[in-house]
Amino acid sequence: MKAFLITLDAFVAIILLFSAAFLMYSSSFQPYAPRGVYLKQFTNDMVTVMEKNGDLGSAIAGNTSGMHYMMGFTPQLVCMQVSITDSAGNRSVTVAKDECGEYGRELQVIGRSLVYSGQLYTVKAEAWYKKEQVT
Amino acid sequence: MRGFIITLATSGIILLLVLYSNTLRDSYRGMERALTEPQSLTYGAALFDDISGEVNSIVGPSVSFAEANDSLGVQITDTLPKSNYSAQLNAYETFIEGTLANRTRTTIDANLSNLRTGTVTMRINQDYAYSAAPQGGEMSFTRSGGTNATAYYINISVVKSRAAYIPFTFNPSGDINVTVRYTDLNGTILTSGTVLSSGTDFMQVTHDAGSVRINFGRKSGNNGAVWINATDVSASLGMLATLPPINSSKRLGYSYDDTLSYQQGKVSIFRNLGK
Repeated sequence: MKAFLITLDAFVAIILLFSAAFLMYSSSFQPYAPRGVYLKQFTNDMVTVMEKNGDLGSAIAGNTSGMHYMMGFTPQLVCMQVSITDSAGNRSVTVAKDECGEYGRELQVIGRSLVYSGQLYTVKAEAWYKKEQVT
Repeated sequence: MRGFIITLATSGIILLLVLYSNTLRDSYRGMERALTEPQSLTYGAALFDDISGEVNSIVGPSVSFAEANDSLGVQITDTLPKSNYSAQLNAYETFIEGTLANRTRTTIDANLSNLRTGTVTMRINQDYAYSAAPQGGEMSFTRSGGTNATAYYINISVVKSRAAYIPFTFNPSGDINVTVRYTDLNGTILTSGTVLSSGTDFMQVTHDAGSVRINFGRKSGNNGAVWINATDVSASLGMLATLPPINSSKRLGYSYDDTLSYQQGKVSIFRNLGK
C-alpha cells in the first residue's frame, strides 16, 4: 500500500512538474524593443530633411546625388527606398540606399505630398532593417 | 502523508512562478503597447505638418523665429500684393483629398476657402495677426492690445523707377526703433529712427505708376502695428519684428484660418493648418 502511495505521489509530482514547465514555456515572453516606432520616425525625419534640403526636388529634376548623399547618413542596419510619383500616378524617380538587398523585418512605409515647380507629387518612403543583421 | 505535503508545497511554488511569469509578460506587453500605440498619431501629425508646409510653400509667407532671453524675433518674407492662388489651392486640395489620401490609406478633408479669397491671414504664436491682401488691399501686422514691439526692420524691393519720396517724420521720444531699407531702380533708401507706438508715422515712395506706403503706430485701436499699402506695385517684403518673449501659455508657430481634418483608423485630427 505504501509503495503504491509513493508511486502515486511521484506520478502526480511528475505530472505537475511537466504541466508547470509547459505553462511557463507557453507563456514565456521575449522582451522585444518596438524598433518599428524608431524606424518610422526616422524615415519621416529623413524625408523631411530631404524635402527641406531640396533633394527631392532635385531628384525630380534628374539629380539624385543629394538623396544618395543623405541616405549615406542612415545607420548601417537601416535600409531605405524613396519613390516619387506624379499626380497622374507615373513613377518619376526611385532612389534606394546602396548595398541594401530585399526587404527585411520591420518594414515601415510613410507617404507625404510634395509641391515642386507647381506640380504635385506623392513621396513614398520605405525603410527596413537589413535581414541578415536581425537577430 | 509528508510526501503529499511536500508535493503540494512544490506545486504551490511552481504555480506562483507561473503567475509571476504571466505578470511579467503582461507588463512587457503593456510597455510595448504604450510605445507603439501613439505611432499612428505621430504619423498623422507628421502628415499634417507636411500638408501645412506645402500650403505655406504655395501661399506664403515664409516665417521664422529667433528666441532670445529677453525678446523674440519674428521674421516674415512675403510678396505684396498677394497673388490669387485659387487654382493652385484647388489643385492641391483635390490632390491631398484624393491621391494622397488613397496612397496613405487616410481620410483627408481640407477646407482652404479662406485662403482662396486671396487674402492670407495668419495667426503667429496664437497672438499676433499677420494679413496680406491682393491688389487694392494691404499687409498688416498687429495684435489685439498692441504688439509691444520694440523694433521693426523692413526691407522692400521694387523693380520700378522712383517719382517721389515722403520720409518718416520720426519722434525722438518714440518707443519703437524702426529701420527701413527700400530699394528700387533709383537706388536704396536707408532710414532709421524711433516712432511712437500710439501715434502714426509713415513713409511713402511714389513710382511712375503706383506707390508703396509704410505705416507704423496705432491701427484699429491697437498700438505698435505696422501696415503697408502697395498700390499697383509688386514688392518683395522682408520684415523682422523684435517682440517681447513668448508667453508661456502660447505656442511658438503660425496657423492659417483654414482647417484640415485627418483620419486614419482611430486617429482623428482636426485643427487649423500651421506649424
